Amino acid sequence: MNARILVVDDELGMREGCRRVLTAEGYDVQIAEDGPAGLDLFRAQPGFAAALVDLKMPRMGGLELIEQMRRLDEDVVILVITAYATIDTAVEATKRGAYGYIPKPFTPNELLLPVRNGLERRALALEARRLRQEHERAKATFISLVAHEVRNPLAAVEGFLDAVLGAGPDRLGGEERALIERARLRTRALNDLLRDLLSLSAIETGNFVLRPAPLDLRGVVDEAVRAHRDNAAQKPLRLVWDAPADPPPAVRADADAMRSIVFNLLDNAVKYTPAGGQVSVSLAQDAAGVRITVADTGIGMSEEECARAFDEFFRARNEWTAHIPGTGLGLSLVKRLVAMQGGTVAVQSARGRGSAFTVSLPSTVL
Amino acid sequence: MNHLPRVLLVDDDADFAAIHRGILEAAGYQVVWAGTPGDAWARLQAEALDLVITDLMMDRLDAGFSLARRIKADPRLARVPIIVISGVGGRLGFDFRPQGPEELAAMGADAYFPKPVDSQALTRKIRELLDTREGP
Repeated sequence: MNARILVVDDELGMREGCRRVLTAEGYDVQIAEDGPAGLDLFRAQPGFAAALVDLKMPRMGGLELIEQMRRLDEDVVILVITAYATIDTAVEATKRGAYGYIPKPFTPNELLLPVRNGLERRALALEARRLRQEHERAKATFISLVAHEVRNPLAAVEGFLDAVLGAGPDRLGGEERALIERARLRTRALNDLLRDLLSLSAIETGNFVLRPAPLDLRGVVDEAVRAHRDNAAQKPLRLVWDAPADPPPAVRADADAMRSIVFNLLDNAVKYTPAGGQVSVSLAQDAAGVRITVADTGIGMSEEECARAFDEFFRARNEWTAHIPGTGLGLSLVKRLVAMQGGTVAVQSARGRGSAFTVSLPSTVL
Repeated sequence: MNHLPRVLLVDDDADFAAIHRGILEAAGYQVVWAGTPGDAWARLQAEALDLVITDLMMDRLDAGFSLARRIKADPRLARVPIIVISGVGGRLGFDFRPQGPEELAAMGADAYFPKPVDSQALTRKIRELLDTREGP
């Protein structure tokens, strides 16, 4: 199919001239005599490869038209036609999304060359994006395949460990039991990691479906805190859960997503807080929405680390974190799960003073 | 019930079969293992079984469902409770986890557990299903 080009110019001679030259080159040309008419056409027939826009027109100026078009289509090549080819207007047009400008008057070649260049650039950009998306999809699919293949044998290992742990004291000595229990903790951590990997790859391939339902958030936090008691006691550190006395009203949220969010934040807090420290969890719910805060007195982060904390695979690398295992997936998953539910997650932190992560979800109280 | 309840365990993975067999025998059940849905169906025709525990993905993606529906459609077997245990719990396009009693019923299953299974929850559920069945 030939590339479609839209020409918007209030001068009949200019419109027809452009049409003739471009049509002769095999382009499919449509014309409009002013900004609003051009924008209507642009909106009604998406997929224009390029647009030639006169800068000075009545009703709607070229600059405004460029901006509107850019908002509708980030790939269209916009060329400005102008009799006032000053650096200033050219720069302004480029700022608003034009690819280049053609000073009037121009010869057919002076028109065709920038059009060809612009279209070529667009084709390359589209191809690059397609490849990037394909790559992302392939990566996500690969990750989920591997994770699933790993998960099954892991579930079998866990099953066998549980079977051993289920044996009475006559069959399993205290020392052996402690060893198996430690192995079981590691398989549980591995399982959590697989779950996060699967969630992230599902989000990337668009297969992650949120199932919002009435949810008791206090219960979710309760469960997460209970699951971290052992780890906290081992360090040891104080794990404080400031549970609301009365159960707050149910909110509409995805149970798995919320569980994953709270578990990940608590994992991190316990992991990055040295012995003797404290991790505190609180839940606040009011008309404005829901806030879950997980604060610790741990190693904290520098300003730069805070800025990147939610990036996929980012891990702060310094003398305090060198010996702490982790993948750098947890927080990026937290951020995505929170964003998918219309919320935000923020961090306040200072090196050596600890970090506080606050998840805010909009008021969707039933 | 005047005999040890007999549970048919359907799983193509011998390791999971061993794990689940261990849990069931410790809880006082007799276990019959079938490695394929076809084998399971043959056992169901041949002998009296009180409960079926089946894996989901075996020779086919939804083998466990097909088996469950086939059992529920057979008037002589329709009252046999069915528990589905599956490792497919992810959010991967094919999320089979039932979201409520209706979906569970549509699956032809009476209960669903993810792998690895929580042994106490499983045996509690089995007792409950068998009690309801034996009920007045």
